[in-house]
Amino acid sequence: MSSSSLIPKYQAAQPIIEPPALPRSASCGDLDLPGPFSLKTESQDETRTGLKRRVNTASTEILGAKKDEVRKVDYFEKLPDELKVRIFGYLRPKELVRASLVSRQWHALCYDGQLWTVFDATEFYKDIPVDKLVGIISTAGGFIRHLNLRGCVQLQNDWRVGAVSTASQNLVYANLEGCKLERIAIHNIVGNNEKLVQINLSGQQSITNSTLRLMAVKCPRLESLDVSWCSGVDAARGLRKIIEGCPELRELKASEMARFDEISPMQAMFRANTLERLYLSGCETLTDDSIRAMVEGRHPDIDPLTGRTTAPPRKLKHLDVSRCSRLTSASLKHLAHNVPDLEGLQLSRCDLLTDDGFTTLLPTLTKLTHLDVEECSQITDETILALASAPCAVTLKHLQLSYCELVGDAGLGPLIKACPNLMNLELDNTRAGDFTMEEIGMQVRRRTDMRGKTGAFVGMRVVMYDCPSITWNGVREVMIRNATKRPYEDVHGQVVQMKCYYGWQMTCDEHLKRVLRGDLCSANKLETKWAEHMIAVEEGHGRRRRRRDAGTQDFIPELDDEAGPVSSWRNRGRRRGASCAIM
Amino acid sequence: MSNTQAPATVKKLTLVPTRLLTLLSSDSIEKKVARDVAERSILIKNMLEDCAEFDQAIPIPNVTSSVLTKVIEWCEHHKNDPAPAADEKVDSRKKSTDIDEWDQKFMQVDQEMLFEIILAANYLDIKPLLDVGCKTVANMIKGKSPEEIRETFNIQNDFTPEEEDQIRRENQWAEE
Repeated sequence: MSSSSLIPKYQAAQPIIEPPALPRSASCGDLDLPGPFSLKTESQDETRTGLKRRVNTASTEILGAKKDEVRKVDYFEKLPDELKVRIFGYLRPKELVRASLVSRQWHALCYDGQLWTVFDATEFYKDIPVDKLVGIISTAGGFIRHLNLRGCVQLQNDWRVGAVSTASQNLVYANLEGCKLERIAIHNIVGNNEKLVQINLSGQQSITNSTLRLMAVKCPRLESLDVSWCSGVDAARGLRKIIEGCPELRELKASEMARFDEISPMQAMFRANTLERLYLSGCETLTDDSIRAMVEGRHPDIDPLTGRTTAPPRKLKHLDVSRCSRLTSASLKHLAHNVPDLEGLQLSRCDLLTDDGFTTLLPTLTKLTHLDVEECSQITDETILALASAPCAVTLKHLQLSYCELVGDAGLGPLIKACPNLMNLELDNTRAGDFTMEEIGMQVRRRTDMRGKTGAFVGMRVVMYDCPSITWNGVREVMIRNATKRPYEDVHGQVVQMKCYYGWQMTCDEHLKRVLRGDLCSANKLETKWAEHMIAVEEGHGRRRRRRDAGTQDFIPELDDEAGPVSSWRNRGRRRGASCAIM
Repeated sequence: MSNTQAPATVKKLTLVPTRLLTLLSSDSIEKKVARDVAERSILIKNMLEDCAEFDQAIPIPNVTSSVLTKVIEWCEHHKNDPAPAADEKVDSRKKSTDIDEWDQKFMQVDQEMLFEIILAANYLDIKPLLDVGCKTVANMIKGKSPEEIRETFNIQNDFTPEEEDQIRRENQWAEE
């Protein structure tokens, strides 16, 4: 069929993409090249006539070609522009820029604003020169809704940045982390974009409380704000305005912000009660009174029967108050019963916290999945036991206990048993010992949840550097369990991955690799050899003994060859007996 | 090609107790299609919603019979697909050009047919087919140098050598 006859008909037809009612960016209205790409051409008129001439010759060439050779037709050109733009929409930014060199028409289409509604510099922020960056942003202008300039330091102190801050007026998401923009540029962005839902300004040293006040007035739809490490901003005069002015605010990140000792910002949070994720790590001015003001208000109504506030529960799902060194157990008691939706709680390096607070708070949490109490050096097994018997024990997935130097086997044993979904456990510098390791190995192998996988897979990662009570025997115990199939079951299921003393790490990794591969025979061989090596090292002087061990080693491979649940169980019994005898 | 395939389609469809529609291609060839298959086209679906009874052939004036056959083949294969999530926002953020195996084979046609399927999918308003077509073309562009792209699509380079040189220099940062 004749292909050229198709064009007018199709273009008359209703396309799925409405013919652009949206303003196309100025550049592609006519076939001129976009403004910022200053081509050294003659005057504009000349360019246009020259272009027309070229297009004419091109079309006659195509017509001429059609008679002779149908293959030489540029079918792409016959698509309506909407469909071309749709196709270009599947290209990554760098691919688009490369494709712009194909022809004038492609150049214009590749810089069509519709293609740049998401401007994410992640893939090229290091390479793109500032004039090109400014060029694309000002060309795409009002089309950009999602702007990620994270790490574009080239914008710093460049006069052209004004174009960036005024060009975009429809931003919904803006990430300016580490751009080092001047305050006036940020004020322009904030002032011009009333639809902003999310903005990340972390590390912008130039912004002040007036920036936040402007945002509170101009961006009523804001849901997520990151002003971490902005030293020019404080809680009392800046943050409070945001909380009062943005009724949709769900997420607030304000690490290392000053002046939380004043009650007003927390009081504002209490009144709004919209926040779901609050990150205040390193806010050293945060006190028990601020936490109380946030969860109970300044003058709480206390129910005389229960002794609790009558205020509705907080919506908080994630709370990070790590490195807030003034917080004590009183804060945890204020949180108890008032944050039923809490899923993540980060309290690392709050070293005034004690068992008293945790035993009050933990039983009231039902949805907790992440708990970080690293370096809460006063907590003991009592807290761990409270966690084990709390309703959230079944939901808990990640637990950081590193440097809780008073925590040991007495708490960890029951905890491991009570937490069927625990995936990450960090135990560095605790008193955890071989008993804990044995419990970990046993409980993880008992788990029947396959998480949609077949065969062996890592169900729990344990980090246990510098735990003086964990010996190679504990590590070996986990290895033995990892390499054991459950009797009468075909599937292998969850195993444990260990991060431990560097001298053992390589053996652990190799062993795990073999287990995951399903090669239990070679895993067992490795574990046996390693155990013998460790015994030899431990004995130190036992040359005679080593020879005897070497003798037993000889028949192990034969036994291992008849792999299968029965033989591996038998092996295990024998080996355990041996290790006990030596111990 | 169309004449040989069409009867087979009809025969298969008569077993299905759904109503048959007749589509009339631009070159006046009639094609019988089950209603649920034809309704993958939003254009036809809306048309049918407007008129309760539709006994005469539906004219599809912009699509030739060979393309229509191909489109119907696609609709047949995808008639039980779940409705695509109407979340335009999500899919514009990170578009993948992955195409499932059947569709890849389906799209192994010459360029003329490929672009006509795209146009027909656009006209008939079959968004998933349009997506597959556009992805196929996008994959033909990906990873190619401008020269290779011109060769693939027979595009005339209408830049002057100076212009080309300048853009090439400006684009240097985007080279791999």
